[in-house]
Amino acid sequence: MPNEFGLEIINLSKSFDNHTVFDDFNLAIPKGEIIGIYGPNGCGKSTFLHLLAGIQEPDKGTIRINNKKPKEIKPGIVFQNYSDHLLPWKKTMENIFLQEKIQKNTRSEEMLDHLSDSQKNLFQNLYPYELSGGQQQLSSILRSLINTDDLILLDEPFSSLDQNIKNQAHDLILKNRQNDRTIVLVTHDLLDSVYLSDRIIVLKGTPVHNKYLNLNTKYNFKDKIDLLHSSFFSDIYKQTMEYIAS
Amino acid sequence: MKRSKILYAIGPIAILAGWYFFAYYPTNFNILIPKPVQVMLSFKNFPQILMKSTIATLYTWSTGTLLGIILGILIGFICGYYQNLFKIIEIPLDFFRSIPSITLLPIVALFLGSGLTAKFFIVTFVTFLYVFIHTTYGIKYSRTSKQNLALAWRLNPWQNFREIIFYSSLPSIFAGIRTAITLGLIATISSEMTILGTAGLGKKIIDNMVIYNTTEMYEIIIIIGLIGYATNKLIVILENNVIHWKGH
Repeated sequence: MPNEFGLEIINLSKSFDNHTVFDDFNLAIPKGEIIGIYGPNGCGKSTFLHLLAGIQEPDKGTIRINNKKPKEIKPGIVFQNYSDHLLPWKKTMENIFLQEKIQKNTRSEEMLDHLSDSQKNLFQNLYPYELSGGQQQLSSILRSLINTDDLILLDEPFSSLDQNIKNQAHDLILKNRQNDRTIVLVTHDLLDSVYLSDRIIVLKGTPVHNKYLNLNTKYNFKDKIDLLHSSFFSDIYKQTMEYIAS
Repeated sequence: MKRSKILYAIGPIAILAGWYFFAYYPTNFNILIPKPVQVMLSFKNFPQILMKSTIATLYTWSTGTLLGIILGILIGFICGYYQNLFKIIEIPLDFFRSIPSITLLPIVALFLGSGLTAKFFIVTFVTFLYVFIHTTYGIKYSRTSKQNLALAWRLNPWQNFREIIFYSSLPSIFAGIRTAITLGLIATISSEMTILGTAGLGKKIIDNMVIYNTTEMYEIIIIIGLIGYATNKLIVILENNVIHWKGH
């Protein structure tokens, strides 16, 4: 009988040469959640995303996304080095719709409602290399949200964004969450992670992950400033830091 | 801007000044260095004396080079895509690339005689090697840098080639074409100057050398230089228009 997990990981192990990143790692996330992945540099966050995306194969174990194998889905993805993954020979708008065009031969124009007129103009007329890092990153986020029903993987998607565009990107992500879509967000900013996610998985530094801290971060604050000044966020912050340091 | 133009003008002016100096300053080599004015004036006889040879050279060069470029790109795509195939031919390829084309002339002459076919073969071979190598490496590199995107999107081989690999490899292919065009011209002139020389500007240089007609020799050298320079400039303009993203 099919389960209700959007993401299910069973006994996952992954090593590089003699360096073990995951060892019998287990995780089950209900459908439709946004999961924040938090942890220090080099703890395997990007590897985790690559395993979910099917870009890397696990040495052992099973990954299921909406009961499908990673290779059976076509995730939307923002890579950490986002500018390398925008195709410089295509205008930015063509980049945004490219995955959808290839896979479904459609164009979800309604996604453009999230952009200002000047941004639409920029994306329509300029190549990615003519845009600022922030605009490139925003177009990568937009592209990832357009194209998939099952899984969206965001690796440091806000690293180049100024506060205004970051807020816009947050709105984009929150407005495009769906019941059967899991969004995995890797970020070094704990406030962003708590603000956007339903739960945070805190990974410790390597060598081996077979444990993690699973924090429920569903909250009811009216905005990010409220959240920042809340005891709820202080508790999450404290628990996270103590777990990493332990 | 003005300063930049002056800097660009210094090189050609210095060469002309040097030429004037050595042409007029009395030395034992004056016979070998014609006066610049004489060479310039000799251009008015170009249609009668050198047009036929220039066309012969251009024909050999352009046809051989074009064939080499087309074959280099096609076979380069196949070998770049199937890396195991490339591994099989990598060592022989590096070996042949290390051989100066002129050393192949005698063996080509033995097999194909000294006609146009032999010259085509040499020019095509030389240009093919460089375009092939650049195409293969261009594809190899593009497969590394954008591979994650293609993997995550589950692109099939044709989609991957059409959307990513082809465009990613273009800068490297153009670099190969630029080198190949220059090397093709060198191979054309070399083959015309040696045992394959039945026509063309290379043969004319040797013919004029034998009778110490240095004025026409210099005229031919200038023509060859202008052909190479103009073609290179055209390729750069084409490259900048086609690969507008180069360097990004």
